[in-house]
Amino acid sequence: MTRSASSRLAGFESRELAPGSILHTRRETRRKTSHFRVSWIGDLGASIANQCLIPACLLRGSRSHPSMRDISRRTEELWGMSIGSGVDRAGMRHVVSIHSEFPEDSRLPAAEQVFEQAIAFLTELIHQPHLVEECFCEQTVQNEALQHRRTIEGRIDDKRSWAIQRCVEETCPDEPWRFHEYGMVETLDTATPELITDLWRQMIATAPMHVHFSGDIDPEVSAARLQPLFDGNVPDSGQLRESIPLKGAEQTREVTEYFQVQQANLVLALRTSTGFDDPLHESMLVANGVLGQFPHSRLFTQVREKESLCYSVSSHNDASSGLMLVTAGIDVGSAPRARESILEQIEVVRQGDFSDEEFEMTLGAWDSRLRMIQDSPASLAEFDLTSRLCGREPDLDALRGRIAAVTRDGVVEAARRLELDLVYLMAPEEAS
Amino acid sequence: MTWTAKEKTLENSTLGERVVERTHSSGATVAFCRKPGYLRRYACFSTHFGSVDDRYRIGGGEEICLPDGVAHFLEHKMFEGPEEDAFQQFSRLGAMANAFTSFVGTTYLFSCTDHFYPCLDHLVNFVQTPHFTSENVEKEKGIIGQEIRMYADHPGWRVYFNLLAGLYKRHPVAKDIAGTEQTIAEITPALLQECWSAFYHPSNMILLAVGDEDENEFFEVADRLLSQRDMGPDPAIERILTSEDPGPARKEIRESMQVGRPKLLFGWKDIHRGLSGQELMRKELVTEVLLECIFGQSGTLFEDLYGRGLIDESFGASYQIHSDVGHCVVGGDVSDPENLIEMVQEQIERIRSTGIDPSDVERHRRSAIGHLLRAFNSLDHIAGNYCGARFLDTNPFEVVDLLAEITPEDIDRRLQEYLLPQEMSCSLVVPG
Repeated sequence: MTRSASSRLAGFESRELAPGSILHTRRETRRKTSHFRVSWIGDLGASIANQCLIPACLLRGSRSHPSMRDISRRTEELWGMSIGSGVDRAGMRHVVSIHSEFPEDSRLPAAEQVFEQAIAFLTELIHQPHLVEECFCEQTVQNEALQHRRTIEGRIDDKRSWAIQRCVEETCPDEPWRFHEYGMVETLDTATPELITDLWRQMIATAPMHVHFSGDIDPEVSAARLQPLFDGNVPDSGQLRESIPLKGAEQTREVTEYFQVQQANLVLALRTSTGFDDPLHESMLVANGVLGQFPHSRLFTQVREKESLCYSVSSHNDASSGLMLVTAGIDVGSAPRARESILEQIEVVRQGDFSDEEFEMTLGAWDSRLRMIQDSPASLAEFDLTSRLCGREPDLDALRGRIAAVTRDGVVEAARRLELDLVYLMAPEEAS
Repeated sequence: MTWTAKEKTLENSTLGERVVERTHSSGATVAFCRKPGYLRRYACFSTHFGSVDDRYRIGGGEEICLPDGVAHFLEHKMFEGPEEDAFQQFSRLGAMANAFTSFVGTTYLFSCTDHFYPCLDHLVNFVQTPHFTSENVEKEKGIIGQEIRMYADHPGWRVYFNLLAGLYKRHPVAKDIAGTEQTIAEITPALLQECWSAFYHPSNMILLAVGDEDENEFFEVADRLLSQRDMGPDPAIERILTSEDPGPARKEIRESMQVGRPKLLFGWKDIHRGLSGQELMRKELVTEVLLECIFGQSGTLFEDLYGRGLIDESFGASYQIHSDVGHCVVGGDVSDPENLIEMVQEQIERIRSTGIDPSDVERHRRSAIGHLLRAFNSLDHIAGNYCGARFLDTNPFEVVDLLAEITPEDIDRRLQEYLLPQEMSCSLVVPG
């Protein structure tokens, strides 16, 4: 299948306003809403839980809208403007963000306008929070610390994600990506109004910062309106830790843990030894696609459809940590066979025993997926940011070109790097 | 074959969207919504056959009762072909395919960036070509069994379906969409064939495309595809509705699971046979505004509960309407559920006696229009919204005008008859 030509859609126009802090704006005429995201970058680590409280505290009150209720009423007045916060990880980096969407002025009835007011409101939320004696309110900080503690404790509610996280913790006991982006509950005991206010001041003053904006407005104009968000932001050079080399596997280890579940979750952690800057990076992406990323992939067609061993089975490649994770929801009695069957499919890819059609379908699926990113400003912002954090050029067409150039031999070479490091099984308690 | 009725255009100037709808001589409803500039194209072929369709008769014949989970099982099996499963051809075309079963319908869909018409051809073909064998039906029972267990470990799913079981005494909306491992054991190839013949006739289906394609070409191709096989006369299915009695089936259902914090949902049901499409939509909108006024983030109740640490951001309310029943669902992750319910009931009674603040209604109306604008960015949302509305015999674009007509008196009137304490049912998932 031939690859489609470049989509020629407007990309971000990026302006570096301070070393490591960049404003990205683009014109988007197809949608009915503008999309905004501001992200502050730090390092993953043991004590990041308090950083997670910063956006939550910012959204509890601003100078002219001092309560959560005032903020909600303001967003309703601004035509249902959405505002949310997030904490994520990208490799060894920790990303704290606030995102928002609001209607385009041109789409509103009766010549109403929202853009200027929305940006002013976001700027106030970030730079002028509701402070009492120069600090966040005691009640706000304690309340958000309690909420975040519960969020961390509630991670176990999603059994598949819990199994994956436990597998990564066991596989990488001394690597930075073992830390969950929410941090640890113990850290929250130290959360005081003074500390969280200091962390906020440090973050807006010294953390590398990215603002992504897509909307139906001249990028020069939106950039001028958004620039005040960077006021006072002068990142310290070298404050982020240097990247660490990827590890290979040693002896394969096995960990089984028992939970109150009906279904077992099997997670295989494989070391790829292939980072973003590796010449085989795109080949590893395609190898993962042949193995388990799509409905035509071998894990779906063989382990699920042919052997009827599971409903969900897939593989995921994370180049920033050099891990490929294969997950399957299975009956605990089928665990040995499921593991064997998954390893057989990995072997098929390593030996190059997949068909030309499987290979071509994977290239096509990757190309289609990358093109679709361009319809979503949120996905475009995510692609742009994670590319930069991983040291990759944030150019979708260039990535499409590199994937289209991957060969079967490249896929085999990449797959031969895979080393099984750890097999994690979340099993029902009755099976113990 | 060709088109039997005059073309209908559904549109709204505020939303800036337009759907052109025709009825094909095969009986199918065919619709198209153009989204200029979008790279992604989306199409779905949906049948009005969901989990609530558990009893029917054809041509005045005997009543047929279906085991729970048949519509969902059929969804899985339609992908099976004599040579290969339907995913393979979509993968060759670089498309992503999927399907889902809801209470009221089953939708087969694909999205792609290229080869739209070959994908559309494949979509219509595979949904109109069943291939059920004893072997492939038995094999699927293992896969769906794992899917059922996966959801059984999902506390959000459990708390939701337990609430429906608490609200409804007899109505099939309370049954799990996938059925149980016991009910799917009864499913045979003959039963699937019987259901397919009854519910997959074009007269019971919608073919819809959303994307940047040419409208005339789409209808020409759709005509050709729907004309290629004789699907026989409209089987004139008579759905047998199960009448629901007032009052909850149970006041409370409590389940223990391994969760980090309790999950609480509470709700109230409605019984409303005989309402027209527009009346249903109006009832839905009035109820949604009422729920926002009481439970929304800009209300005093949310602020109070959040401030006390009883709820988190997951707390919210929604309303789901069907042709004969409806229910609202309120709640999220909570602490101290008993105290919380007491505070909720006090607040409802307070608002019932003082009346709704008219400024709240105006803000929620404004906010609702903004949310609609945001939702109509999404091809998937447009498709889901359109099919859901057509199954209810409503016009999805009337929503803006109906919103404009809602008055505070409408909301007060609704509150006088709804959210009564004796009608409430609660569902709890607690750590244990």
